[in-house]
Amino acid sequence: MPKIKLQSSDGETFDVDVEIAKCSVTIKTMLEDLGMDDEEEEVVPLPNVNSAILRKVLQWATFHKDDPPPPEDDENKEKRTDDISSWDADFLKVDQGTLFELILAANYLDIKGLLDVTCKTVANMIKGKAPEEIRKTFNIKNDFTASEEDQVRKENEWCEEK
Amino acid sequence: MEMDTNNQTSTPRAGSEGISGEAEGEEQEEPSSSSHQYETQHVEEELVSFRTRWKQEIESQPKNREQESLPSTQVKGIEGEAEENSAKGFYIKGTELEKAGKVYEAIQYYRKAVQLDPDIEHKIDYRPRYPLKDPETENSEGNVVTDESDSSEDSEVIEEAQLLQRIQKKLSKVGHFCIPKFTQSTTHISSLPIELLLYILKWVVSTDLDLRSLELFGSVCRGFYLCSRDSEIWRLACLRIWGLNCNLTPGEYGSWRNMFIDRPRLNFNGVYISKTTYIRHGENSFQDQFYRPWHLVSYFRYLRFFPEGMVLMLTSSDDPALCVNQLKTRNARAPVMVGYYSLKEDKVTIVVQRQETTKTVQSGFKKGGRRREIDNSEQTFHIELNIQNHKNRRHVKLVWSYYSVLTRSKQGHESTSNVDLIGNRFTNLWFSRVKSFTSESDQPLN
Repeated sequence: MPKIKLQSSDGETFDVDVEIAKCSVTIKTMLEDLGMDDEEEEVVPLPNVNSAILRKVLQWATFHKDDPPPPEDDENKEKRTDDISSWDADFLKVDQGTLFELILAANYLDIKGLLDVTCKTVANMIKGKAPEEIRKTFNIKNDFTASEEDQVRKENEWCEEK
Repeated sequence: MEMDTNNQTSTPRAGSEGISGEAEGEEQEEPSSSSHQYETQHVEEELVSFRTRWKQEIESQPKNREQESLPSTQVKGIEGEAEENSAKGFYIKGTELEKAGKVYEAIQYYRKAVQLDPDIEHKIDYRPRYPLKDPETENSEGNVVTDESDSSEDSEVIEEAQLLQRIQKKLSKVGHFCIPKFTQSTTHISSLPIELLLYILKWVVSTDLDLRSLELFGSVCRGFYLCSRDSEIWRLACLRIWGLNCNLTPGEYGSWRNMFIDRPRLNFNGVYISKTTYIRHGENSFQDQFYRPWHLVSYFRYLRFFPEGMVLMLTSSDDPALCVNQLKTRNARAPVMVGYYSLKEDKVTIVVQRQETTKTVQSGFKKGGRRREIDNSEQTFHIELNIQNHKNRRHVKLVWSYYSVLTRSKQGHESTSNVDLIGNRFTNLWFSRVKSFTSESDQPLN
């Protein structure tokens, strides 16, 4: 299988199967647009991704390389997508910082599947949580003033239970 | 109001605008060799006399005017510009004097300014020149009023819009949407660009329209508040519920969020429950004629709605705690019945079919023994309910307005029976939220 070299922001190069690298739409279009020949030992620089994250991304891409493309037809739209697979769940047992970096990398490399699974993980950390819990989870400073907070509470009253 | 503006202008300025404004005024000291030289010089004389008076005034209130008595800055402008600038200088001094209560002097300077440039009033930059106040002290005033003077016209708008504006303005100054409470070395959520945060929020809301979680998220900090008011998310949510009955604009509701909150709809993050209790008297005992048993029958009816029009119905004598789990997902199994509903104004029409209720009874000992079908008729329930609010809680009460059952036997006989809604058999259904229904996201809102 033809390989290409990907270079992370900190200068490490990774030998990757072209097919795996191409799950990144960014890399795919780069290869196509630049007419990079598969045989050439071209190095694709990825200045926005460091080696630790790139390694994780490639690990994910390798596992999911045979995944069928996401269904486009509307009929399947309402179908429950399977819960995060157990492999993904293990894969995503990372610290929050890594999770955010994976989101940024998936976004930059345009890997829909990885972006979705990471965003979903963050979303599930938010869902149903009280503001104070969210602040604690993500280390966020409450910058509301007392009067602003009152006002927000008033605006959100419709979904409070009484 | 007048007093207020006065205070603000006389506080020491840290903003550069205040200083540059003065510099423009000071520029008069440099005689401009323009065609209006005579005029300018004439003005110059008056200015000098004014300046001495002014400086006295400054000394009488040294703290407030400190910034303005800065040494003059030489501004090298082209002639026309110079003229305009000097006019501006007069004008600004005029406003300064007016605010200080010296109206007579002020008028003199206004007049001079207008002489130089009749349009000066419109060329002055009215942007407020506020010192960079500490946000905490600013807010301790406890006002939710927008502080920018040019938005004061909007003061009639509802408070909600004011909070949004106010927070928008505050955030536009800082340029980040949240800050870590404690320093952290790893990547913080604030490093995500706003589009990605909004995408995560679409996952939070998901196709189940968990807007409650979005509102809670919006109560975390100012930046998250802004994200939670993203009109696209609310628009998509409305579109999911009302589909083509949504116009291109939220119309009378003013915002998509208001439409979502106020327009009659169903709640999706829980179940509607009614408890029906009735008394049935049993048969007399054979031996004891005086023993007449009465049975107190009570059962629950559960309805769970999904945004795209699916509804699950269950009647059971089991407590809610035992039943809600059966209604968690769309792939419900008997005895839960699956059906569809439509929403028109505040009226919900439900059609539910009893799922293949062919109860099979196995007889005999061997596997695959003889099967006997007991009940093979098909029942379709037509139910109409009205959505009502209760106090502050919206869309929490469903009131029966029509109920009929269509029975079709295996032989094809059909019979419809309209159920009499009088009596206490059909009590209102009340909404209760079920936490587990919104604990996980399946799909992003789209």
